[in-house]
Amino acid sequence: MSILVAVLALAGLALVFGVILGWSSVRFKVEGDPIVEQIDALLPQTQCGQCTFPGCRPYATAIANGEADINQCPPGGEATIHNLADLLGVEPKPLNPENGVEKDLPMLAIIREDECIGCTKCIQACPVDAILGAAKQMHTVINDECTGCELCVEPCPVDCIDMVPVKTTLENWRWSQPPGPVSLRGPVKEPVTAELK
Amino acid sequence: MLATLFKKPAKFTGGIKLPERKSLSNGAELRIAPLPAQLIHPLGQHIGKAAKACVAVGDRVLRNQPIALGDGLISADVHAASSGTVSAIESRPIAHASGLLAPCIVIDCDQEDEATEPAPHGNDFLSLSSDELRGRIRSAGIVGMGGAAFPAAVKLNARGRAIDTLILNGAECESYITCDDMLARTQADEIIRSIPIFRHILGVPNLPVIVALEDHMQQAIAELRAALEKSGLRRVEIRAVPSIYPEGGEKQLIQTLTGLEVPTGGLPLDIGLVCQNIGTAAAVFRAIVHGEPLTSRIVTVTGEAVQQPGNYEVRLGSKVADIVAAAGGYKVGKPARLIMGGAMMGFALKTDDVPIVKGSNCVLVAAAEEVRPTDSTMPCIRCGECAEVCPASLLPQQLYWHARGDEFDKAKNLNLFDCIECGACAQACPSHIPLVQYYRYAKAEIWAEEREKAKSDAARERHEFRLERVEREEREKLERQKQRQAALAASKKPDAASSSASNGAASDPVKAALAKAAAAKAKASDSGGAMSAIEKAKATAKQRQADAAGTSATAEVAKPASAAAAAIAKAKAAATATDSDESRESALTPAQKAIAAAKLKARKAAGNSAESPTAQHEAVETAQQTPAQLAIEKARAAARQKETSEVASASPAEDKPAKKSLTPAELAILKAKAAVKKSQQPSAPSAESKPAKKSLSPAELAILKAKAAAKKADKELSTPDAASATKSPAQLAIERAKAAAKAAQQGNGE
Ligand code: SF4
Ligand code: SF4
Ligand code: SF4
Ligand code: SF4
Repeated sequence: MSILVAVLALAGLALVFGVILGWSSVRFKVEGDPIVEQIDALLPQTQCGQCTFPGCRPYATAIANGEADINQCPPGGEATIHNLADLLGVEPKPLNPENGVEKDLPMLAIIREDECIGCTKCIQACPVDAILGAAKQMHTVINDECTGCELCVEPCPVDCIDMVPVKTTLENWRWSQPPGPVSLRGPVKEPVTAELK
Repeated sequence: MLATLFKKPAKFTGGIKLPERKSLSNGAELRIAPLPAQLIHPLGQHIGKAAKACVAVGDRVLRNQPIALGDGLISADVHAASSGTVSAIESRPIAHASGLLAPCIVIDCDQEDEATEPAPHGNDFLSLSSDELRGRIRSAGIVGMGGAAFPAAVKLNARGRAIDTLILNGAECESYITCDDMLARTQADEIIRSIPIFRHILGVPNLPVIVALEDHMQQAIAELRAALEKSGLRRVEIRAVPSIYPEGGEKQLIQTLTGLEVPTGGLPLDIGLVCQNIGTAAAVFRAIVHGEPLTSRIVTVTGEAVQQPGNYEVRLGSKVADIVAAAGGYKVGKPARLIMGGAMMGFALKTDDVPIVKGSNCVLVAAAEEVRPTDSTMPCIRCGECAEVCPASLLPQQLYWHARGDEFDKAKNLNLFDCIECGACAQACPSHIPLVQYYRYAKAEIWAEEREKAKSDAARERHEFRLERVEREEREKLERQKQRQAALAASKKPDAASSSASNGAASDPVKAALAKAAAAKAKASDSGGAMSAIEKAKATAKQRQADAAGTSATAEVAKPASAAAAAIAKAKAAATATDSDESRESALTPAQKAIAAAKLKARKAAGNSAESPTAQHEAVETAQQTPAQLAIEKARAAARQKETSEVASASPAEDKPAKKSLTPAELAILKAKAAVKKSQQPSAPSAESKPAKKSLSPAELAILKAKAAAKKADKELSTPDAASATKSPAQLAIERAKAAAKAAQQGNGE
């Protein structure tokens, strides 16, 4: 009898906890793969495919599945590799030269508009819909949306797309690091403020 | 709150005593700088969005005429400071630490200084609403004149918050600068008379007001007291605050006057305070009472390297070179450094070709002995002097290390963004470390990071949207294609559709299936028959199933889809049957038909397993050898298949290779399907379509069909009339049907 009570009690408990666990697994379901999300958040979202994957998210998925190394994203460069290494708890390594080289300056596509024949090929290539235009009409790049992925350059049949460095404006200008006694970045010659003697 | 007003002045934490060097400029009277030959009006002279030019090159403009209008909520209009012709609207160097160019409107002055009619104005401002008054301040282009250049109209918007004190800030704490001192001395009346305007705008008639000046500005304080007495205003206090840097900082002054601290990241408004510079107050008075926009200001021109240091009333847009010339020019050749703003918070100019703007309070022409050489930086000795003087109670030394090591997160966590960049720490530092530059650098890097993050988030969103769009377009294309096919089929066989409808037994899905089958066939024959019609039909079915799986709303589609496959099979079977058999079919009972069908299937299966794959012709022949049975098998389908077989015969070339390419297994499946269709149609068409609702691959479908066929045969046999008449053959038929199903499965598994 007492055995029965114990068994019933345990069964009851198991049932109760089973229900709670079942409910919470539905209620607190984690959407998607959080590690993929986290990796994707660190990637530059240039969507250029230089990592050999068709976009940043597929690369993030591949990293999460252990199918790709963390050093394959040239647009992200050193900084992204470091961030990824931090996140995944692995040793940072230099960028894989097979994937490309890191650019010094952020780039931007510019269409030489008088040469554009309106073939729409660049629109189809642009991963972020940063090009405006219609068939047989002049096309143009929305500067703010261009990620500088260069995917539109190759398909253009008349080669009228140039990649140019993003211009420094009052909005994106930055103060430089002052020359320290032993500056980590080497001497920078630009006296910018004045202090009293 | 009132109690705090009369409390003994508190002192803000930190602060440093600076060498004042104010006597250099405040000894002389206010002088008026001559009208320059050219005025340069940058479109962005304020915090917020740059204004938009509203004049064109070649236009003649008059003084006070708006030449650029504020764009957006936080923006300000720009007015011509004298009459002349707009000679260019282009990028010119402006007074900015970067030395970058920015869009400017350039006016070649005609020296007539002709002004427009003044804007609506007068002393009756009490009859106007708060919003109207702020609108006038905005269209007068007034921004904070203490240096920050934040649009005054925005700052005067209480946004429903209770205001309990207005502070007019004249505590000019930076060394060298005396323009506010000069303003208070010369325009004390205007400053005091602006108080009723502010009170009205803020909606508090008896709002307590504190006019704060540093204790060394004795003459200015006296002037203000006299003006106050004259005006008869009450609850206005003129308060002298100790001269300690940075007393004039908004947060520091508030702390000194009220003992309250503005919360991190907050505004004075959050603690019920509004703070305006006295220069702004005078400009507001002139705009409301005289209808004058902001076109000039007092600028301190000072330093050891200029001939006549002093305060000058300067037209906005004058070049620094012009006002240095007005002050007698440079003393000895080139000055060691030309600084816009004070020695502490100003920045070095790379050229004197830049214009004076609304927020320019001082041009410091520094001689070599006045500035600290830039190469005198020595390592930090961790003395802690910097933390002593920081008015924001930060840890400048810590911030410095983090900024130098690019550890921006850590700097941020140490409240880097509370730093007002006052430079007190750098001034105190015995190692001459340019600390403020490090903080500006760190802030700029953090902002850049945030911009990049926002940009990459936007790129991600756009990329995902694009992927979704591409997919949707693909889907819609398919959908349209199918609709076209259906429409084609419907228009091709309107009579056939009606004849099958007259059949009575045919339900809508069946009709639809037939139409689909016909369309698929038509398409196959159009394309030249490279692919067999069956494969085509299967492909169509597969597409439909995929669609059904993709969009739950079209789950129904699966029904006609599977029906389509079956119908095609039937069409095939019908094509092999002779038309003359039709007459015989009609004579048979359902039970007999079922038996015949089962037998046929069994035979097919047998032929299937016994013969090599190449023997499929024989299999077809077998079917033809027993035309009667075949005819039975086609009994129900025939009526509807007529039109389908028409299509089939219309494209014999296409149909034949289709038959040839069939493996026996496939054939068996098809037959099974046909059998299913037939036996099922008269009894319960919906019973069979249920499993089909699930999105199955054609292969799975075939198996299901075969099974269903067996079951159907079973069922039909058990109907009273059939069972009683032909019992043993019926059992036989069941067995055969089962065998057929099994064979079909095997065939399918190959
Ligand atoms: S290389 Fe980098 S930026 Fe380009 S697609 Fe791959 S992860 Fe994205
Ligand atoms: S415009 Fe060209 S470079 Fe810019 S995002 Fe689109 S495809 Fe890439
Ligand atoms: S510059 Fe910043 S850190 Fe230095 S004293 Fe001023 S508020 Fe403090
Ligand atoms: S005052 Fe200068 S030397 Fe002293 S702790 Fe601060 S940064 Fe270092």
